[in-house]
Amino acid sequence: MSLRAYVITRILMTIPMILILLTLVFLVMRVLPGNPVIAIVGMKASPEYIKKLEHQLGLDKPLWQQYLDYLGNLLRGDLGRSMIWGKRPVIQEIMDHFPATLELTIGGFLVSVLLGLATGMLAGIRSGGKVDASMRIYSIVVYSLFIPLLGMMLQLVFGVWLHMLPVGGRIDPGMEPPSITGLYVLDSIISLKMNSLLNSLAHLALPSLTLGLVLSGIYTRLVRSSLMEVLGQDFIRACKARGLPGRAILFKHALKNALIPILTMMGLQFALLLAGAVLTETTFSWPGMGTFLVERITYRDFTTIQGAIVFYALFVALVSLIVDLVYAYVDPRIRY
Amino acid sequence: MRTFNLSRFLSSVRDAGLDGYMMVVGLIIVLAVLVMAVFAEFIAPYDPVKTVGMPVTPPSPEFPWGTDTIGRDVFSRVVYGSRTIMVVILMSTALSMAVGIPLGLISGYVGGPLDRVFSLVMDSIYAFPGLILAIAVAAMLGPGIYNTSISLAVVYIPTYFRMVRGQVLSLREQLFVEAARALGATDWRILRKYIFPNVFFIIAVVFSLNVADAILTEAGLSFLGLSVPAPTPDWGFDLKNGQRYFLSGKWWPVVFPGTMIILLALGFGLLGEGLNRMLGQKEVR
Amino acid sequence: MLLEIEDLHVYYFTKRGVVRAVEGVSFELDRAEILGIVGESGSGKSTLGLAIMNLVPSPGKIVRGSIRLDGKDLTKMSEKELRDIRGKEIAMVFQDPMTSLDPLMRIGDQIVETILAHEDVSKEEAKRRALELLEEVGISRDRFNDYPHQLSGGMRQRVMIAMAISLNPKLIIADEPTTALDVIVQDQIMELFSKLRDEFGVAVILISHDLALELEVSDKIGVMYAGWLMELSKSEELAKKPLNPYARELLKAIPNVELEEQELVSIPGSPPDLHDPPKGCRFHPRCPDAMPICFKEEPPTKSIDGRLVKCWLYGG
Repeated sequence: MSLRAYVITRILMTIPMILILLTLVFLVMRVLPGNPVIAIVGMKASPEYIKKLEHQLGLDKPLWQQYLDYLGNLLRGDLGRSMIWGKRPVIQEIMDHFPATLELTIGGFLVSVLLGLATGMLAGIRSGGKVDASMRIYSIVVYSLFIPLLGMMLQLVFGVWLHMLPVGGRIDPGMEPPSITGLYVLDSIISLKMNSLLNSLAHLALPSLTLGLVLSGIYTRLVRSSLMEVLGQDFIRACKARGLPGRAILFKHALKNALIPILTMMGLQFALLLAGAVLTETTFSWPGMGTFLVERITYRDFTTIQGAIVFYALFVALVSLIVDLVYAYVDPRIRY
Repeated sequence: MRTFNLSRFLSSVRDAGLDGYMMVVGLIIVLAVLVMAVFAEFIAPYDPVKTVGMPVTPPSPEFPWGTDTIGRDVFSRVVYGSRTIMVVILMSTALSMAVGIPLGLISGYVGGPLDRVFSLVMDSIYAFPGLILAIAVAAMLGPGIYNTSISLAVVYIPTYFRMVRGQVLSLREQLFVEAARALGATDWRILRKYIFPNVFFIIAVVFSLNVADAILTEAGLSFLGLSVPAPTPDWGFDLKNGQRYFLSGKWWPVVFPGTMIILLALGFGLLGEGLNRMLGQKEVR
Repeated sequence: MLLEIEDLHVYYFTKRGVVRAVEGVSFELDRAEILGIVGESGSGKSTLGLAIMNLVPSPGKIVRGSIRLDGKDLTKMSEKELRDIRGKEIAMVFQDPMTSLDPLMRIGDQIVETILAHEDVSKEEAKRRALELLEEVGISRDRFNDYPHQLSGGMRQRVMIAMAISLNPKLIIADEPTTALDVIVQDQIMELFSKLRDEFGVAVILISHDLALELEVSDKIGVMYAGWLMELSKSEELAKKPLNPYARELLKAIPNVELEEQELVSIPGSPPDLHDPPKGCRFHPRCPDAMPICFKEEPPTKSIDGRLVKCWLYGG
């Protein structure tokens, strides 16, 4: 199969996935027992008011009609309007919060990959030994660390005791760089604002460490088993027989090959990052999608909740598509 | 069926080295929490929902783990909290299994377009961030033990489905199933007599590893205030309640329930991991 | 002498016990010589090849004996010294060209990498040489940027050989280099080895299960069975008059070899489990000439007219 055919097939394959996810969201939001309107206004509201609100939300139409409306609106990029606070379009509200989540997710991703690579390689190079055993235990233990507790511990140590890092928020007020991408670190670099850069990095440090540490255990396992498998392959022995230095064999040959199967699982890892980010954000008062979603749930802002979940679904599908395309680019067996 | 032989079991644990020890440590933790949940009335010194002292009293002989923000005994709440999380986890897992396993068996066994549709749906759910899916369902259903169980169950149905389906696919081609079919066994009989017993073991491993994950998700939901309603003792929610005092040095309302969450997740994780390797299966998670 | 191997013992220390994969093997090899090592699978021939590189995989170990290349004992060298020898003085070509190249690296770069690992030359110079080498082994220069999966099996093996000769080694160890390839490609590759010997004075150890192939290209042949070197003779002598019964049985299994009783048979039975080899001569359970002593004691290795043979037929 040519690269082009692969890319086209892969993009087409995303469509059913998106449709299924959107349908799932619809089922959860509209079909599950529990009337969203009553959930919004409470049991005590007058029947007339409930009727009015149902009509406003289109909930009085038959389900299939609702479903088609829902998909139709999505196709036009319309996620509806918030039910509180000036009724802003949901998509705008999401765009206000999403960059913060993206920044945190990238930070957590980098930490988890670095830690996971280091520990996984230590374990995989000498499988069966003491180091290997400790790394296996590491991977199970860090995965069990409950994000809020770990986050608070880090806040206590680095924020309160050592006074090294801020314990919450994205940046100190007034330090915000001009908004270009919405990612403070990136915007600070683009606009050459050194203070903003340092400040946003300092705020990013603990949340990223929390999220990254917990998820690093998964990479430890993946890197370990993948590396063990690659190190047993013929071409590694052939590299040794050519007298290549051990370091070159490990980094240039073994690791590169070991990372390919891990790359294919990156989409699922990213979903874990997003889920973990919700707890991390809540712990660190990080103004991202997670805090936003949870806040709107307490206000019963039905349209916004639905919009946020739909956005997550689309984002997950997009990431899994990107991962597969990157994989095709990296692995020459697909590229050529 | 072999009868259980303790000395043989212990020697097989020793032979299995690290995996054996991990399994035993995990088992001890899980059993300890289970005992705590079952005998909460006898272990807890106070009523978990009653104010029994001054708010945020540090640990003392009177309140071994201190009191929380409204003067309830932290130790008693942690003990009763084990009951909440255990009940939710067991109900949700039973529900996930009740849906995921039969669908996986059928999908894998029947194959064809049905299998493709089922797999696509399950894979899509699997790809969605679990906690966020649970949050969405929980937000719609509202708080409560049953509703929380359902929210968690939805997240883990695909895990059981995928595992069982994969096993069935590999078993289906194997000789003894072919042979049974050649001898005229019915589909249902083949499923029940040959395939189900073979997937039983893998379910046990997936169960342990999966429960470890479910505990963290439940605690997460509860931390976000989306699990059981307010006065019910629940580790994640109690931890959230203590959060605002934590950085001023009042650590006990946070650390005790938080540590229990970690311990219980770790217990199931170790159990599953040890069991997995000891029984010679490939990595599952 | 280029290579002198004396009393080499390689054991694998597995959970089930000790596997005596190579035991008491001694031979010598000179420049511009092709030595064939022939034997069934599990005879220890591949382990022998890896042992010469001091690359026996764990849990294997060289437990006794010496391997001297130009007088220097490889078994006593540090990993650093060995690395300078591997690739530069001794090169290796493996059985499966499909899996012996890094699938993620362009073949040209893999050759360049080998050159740069051993010689202090510029990248451009290494690339120039890599291109020449490709041509030398019969691959067009525009394949330099191909990935391994874009080449046929035969071409990949040529790349392996190009890599092997890239640093003008004194010795090439080829472990079943053509087993995975078809017959025409096999002949071409064998010609390549003969050419290397004749034009550059390279010594080759050609490990194979295929005695007919060995007879065609090798100058002398060592026959291995269950970790023992049963016979070492010049190829013509071996073909004409094998000394060891095992070598004779192997020859009988080849069509069109001029032996007195020409009947095509394979040797009944199978090689022993080396966790627990038979007492006495390891071949005695399958040997048509077995005598009482063969059941009890290991035969000594005797030297007869410059040939080595390990068999009780030639006395104690």
